[in-house]
Amino acid sequence: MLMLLPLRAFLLYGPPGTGKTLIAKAAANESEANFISIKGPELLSKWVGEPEKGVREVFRKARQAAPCIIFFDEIDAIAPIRGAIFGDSHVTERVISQLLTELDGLEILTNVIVIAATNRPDIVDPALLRPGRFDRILYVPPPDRDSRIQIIKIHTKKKPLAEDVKFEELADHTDGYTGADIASLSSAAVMLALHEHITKYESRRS
Amino acid sequence: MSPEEAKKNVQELKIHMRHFEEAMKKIRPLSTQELNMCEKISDQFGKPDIAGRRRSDRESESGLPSSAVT
Repeated sequence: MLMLLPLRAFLLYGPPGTGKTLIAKAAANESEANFISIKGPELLSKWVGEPEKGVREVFRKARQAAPCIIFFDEIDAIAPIRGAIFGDSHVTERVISQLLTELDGLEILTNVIVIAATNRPDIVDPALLRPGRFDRILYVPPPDRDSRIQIIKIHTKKKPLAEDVKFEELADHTDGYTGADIASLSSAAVMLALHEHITKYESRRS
Repeated sequence: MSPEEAKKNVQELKIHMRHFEEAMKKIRPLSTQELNMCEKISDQFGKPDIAGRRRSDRESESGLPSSAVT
């Protein structure tokens, strides 16, 4: 029999807008597990000991609500490299220690998956990136051409497109655009079309 | 234009390719510098991307070095 330990923690990193948070949401939706979302800086508090308590609480609730996914967005805000920041109260250092003990401590996480996202993995404390803590560190790159076609289709689904709009051509022109950029692009195109439509009638009336 | 007029002529509202082209002038893609930084970090970690591919695979697929993507 294979005594294989399941993967418990994943770190997603990549440029902003590439869909790291969306992947976590999709994982929660598909697995139908409970989902606890923590936006990095919201754990921090002006009271000494509160952030660490917050981390403990999150993991305690997750254990109670298992199967559960804990999602730490912008983890670089709560777990930067220790010793790199001077002049603070070393609160992030204690938060990291708390996270390390929760991820890799004596109490085993059963049916609890931790997903973290950051666009600055280089400033996340290396102790968190060692095996046993975040088991998989995955790069989320900007979408390739085929992915861009799918993203464009999604964002223009309920919009009145003219016949001259070709998804393939748009995908060719949007090299380097992320999912978030494409979403903004389609909104901006709608606004431009709307503006043109309104001004057309206004000029006719005058 | 009155709201009634706008409703009546809503069928005429179409988004053309020129609107997307105009929008592209306002919304710019990620800068090469930013992208290169992320690629460099991914090299540092030597970890695969979300689809399980390594950087060299992505380059051979696109026929371009990742750094050439703007």
